[in-house]
Amino acid sequence: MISIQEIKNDPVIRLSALTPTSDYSGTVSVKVDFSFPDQFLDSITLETLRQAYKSSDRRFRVKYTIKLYKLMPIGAKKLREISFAKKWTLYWTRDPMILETYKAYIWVLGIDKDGYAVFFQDFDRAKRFLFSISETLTLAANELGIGTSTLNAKVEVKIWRHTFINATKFSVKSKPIKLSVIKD
Amino acid sequence: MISTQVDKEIKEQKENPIKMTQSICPECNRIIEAQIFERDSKVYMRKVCPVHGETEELYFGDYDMYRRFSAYWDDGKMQEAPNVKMDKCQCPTNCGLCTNHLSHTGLANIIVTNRCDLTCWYCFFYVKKGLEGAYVYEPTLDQIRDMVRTLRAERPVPGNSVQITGGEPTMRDDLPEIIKIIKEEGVDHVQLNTNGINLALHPELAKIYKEAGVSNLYMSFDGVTARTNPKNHWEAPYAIEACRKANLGVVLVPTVIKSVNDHEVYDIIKYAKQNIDVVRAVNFQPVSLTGRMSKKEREKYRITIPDVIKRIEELSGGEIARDDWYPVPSCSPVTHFIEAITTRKQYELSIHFACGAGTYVYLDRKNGRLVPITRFVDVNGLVEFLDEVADEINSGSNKYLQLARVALKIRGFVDGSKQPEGLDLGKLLFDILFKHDYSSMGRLQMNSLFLGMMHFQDKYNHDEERLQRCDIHYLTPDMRIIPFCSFNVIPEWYRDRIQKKYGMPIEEWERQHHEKLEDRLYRGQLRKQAIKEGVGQSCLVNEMLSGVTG
Repeated sequence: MISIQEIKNDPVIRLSALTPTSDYSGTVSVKVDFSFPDQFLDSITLETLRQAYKSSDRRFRVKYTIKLYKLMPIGAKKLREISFAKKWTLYWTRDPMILETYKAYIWVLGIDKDGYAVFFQDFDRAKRFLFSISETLTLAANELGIGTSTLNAKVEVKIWRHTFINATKFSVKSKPIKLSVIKD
Repeated sequence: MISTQVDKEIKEQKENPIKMTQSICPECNRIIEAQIFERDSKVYMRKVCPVHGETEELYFGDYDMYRRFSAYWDDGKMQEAPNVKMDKCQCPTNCGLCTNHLSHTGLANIIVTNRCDLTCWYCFFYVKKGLEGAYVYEPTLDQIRDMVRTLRAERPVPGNSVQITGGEPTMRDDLPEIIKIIKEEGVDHVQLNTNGINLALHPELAKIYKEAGVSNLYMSFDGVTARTNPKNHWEAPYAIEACRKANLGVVLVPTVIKSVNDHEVYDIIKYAKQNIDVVRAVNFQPVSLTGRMSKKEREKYRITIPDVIKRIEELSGGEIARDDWYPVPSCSPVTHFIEAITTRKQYELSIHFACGAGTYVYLDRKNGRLVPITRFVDVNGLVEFLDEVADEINSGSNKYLQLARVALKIRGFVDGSKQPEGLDLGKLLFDILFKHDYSSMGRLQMNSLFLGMMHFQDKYNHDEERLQRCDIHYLTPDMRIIPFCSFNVIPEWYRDRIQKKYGMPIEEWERQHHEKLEDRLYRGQLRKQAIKEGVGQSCLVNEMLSGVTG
């Protein structure tokens, strides 16, 4: 069983401004990057997947909720909230490259938030796909108002119980960033 | 060596590799690796046999649909009691089912005879006189009972659906007895695969089969003109009429061949709509190219599931669009949800996403148009929601609270304002999810037309990943359960060998039965009668086809 503590230790979250300064009638874009800690990724191996598959535990879903806040003198105002899931489906592959390279017959297929499949030839890439996100949020500059605003993001993560991990839910907050909105 | 060669060619042709799999050489059946790749928004398979060289074949006619469909990939429950117990079985050898097989039987075929009343030039399913080694294969009633018992012994999910097939199964006079045996062994769904000719000639048979236990007819129907449907154009309307009177549902089964009948796929749906009181479904089968064919010939005839779907979209003017279709394994979240609440393994359609697709359409009686289920049900949202609820229950959340959540939300996925009049799909979904029984599913189908696609493989596009997940199987007298695409794609290993072993030479059969094989051939009486009447088409054919063609 993978330790939940490993997930909660040092997940990486970063909020960055794609448009540090915007006109009042324009838009503001920020990017939220989040990833599970490397220690956690390392603990998921192909043997983990093989054992899960044998127990008919074949679909793994991570639900992400991103909340973007404007920090106020007292409290914070929520500007945006988006929620989506990324998934893995474990399957028995007949891919000779995977059989030779990884000596593995259980492999993963990714399902992106748009519902489309992603095929992998590399297991690290498969892990990065599921356990990291990079989302751009765009809002009207007038939502922030003229002047400098301080924003931060919160990412909530939910994982359900599987043979190799207990159900868990946690959230992390980014460091605040500053954005300026000027008159047109 | 081979994969390096394949990789090099892919780079040169600006192709986008998707994945690798295993296949067979169409010439020698050697197991070889195959590359699945995208080019010009279509998906192809390429493989190289060290002896017979390269084969490239269209695998799936739309890359976008390939990615959408593959997201529903869901390996099945495997076999808890496989018939072939081999640790390292090399597919497709030793099918039976073996320890590699991932799906339980969804539909079990029983060939009750390989005799047929037709002699279609392209068909390889019936016994032909004059061919060396031609055998009449007709398992005994005891053998059939044992085969069904093998099916029912499948674990964790006993097989529950049988298709009686042939040849032409109605050639057997003891067919009602066969049907009763299958029912006695506890099978709920019994489907009769037929060309319908005997039912057209002897309408009373529909009632006899229905009373014996047949659930529906699975009737070949390749087009709405005599040219595209030479097999039973004149006879199908009479067979349908017989079923109507006997209250026996019909599934129309067109084999779709590019450049031959793909221009009539929507006309076939319109024909089904006109007979929606008795026709329950249309199951299109893109052609499986058997025998040796040149690449040019294959390109002329090859059509895949997305191609048929796009053809329907085009011909229907968007009435039934490509996004209305879902791959068969998209049903899995419903199964997982029911398994989570019942804690029992359930019947599951876990075939490969490239093998089959479907949608439900409802007749809006106000304007006579067909309304696909996706136009008033948020299918993606519903599937996602059920998946999440199953995860919650499996994670220890209170089952009854989750059920209450589903009960509260389920109707929210149905847009009542767009739903055809007289339909309450929210209630129907509620019944399916909470009663989760065979009859609830049946009621869903009674109120709609199911449109399906099932693409059987051939040696050119054969993919071991598809075969390993096949859930349409054959029951054989040696107590094996053989996947369709082994049984028919490599007949020299399976079908022909079994029919020879358990069959008898034609001459012996004729001696035992005091009749000639050709005595019961259909001589086109209904067609001749129609022509004699000088109407070109018989009255019933005319009536049933009016407003369909063109």
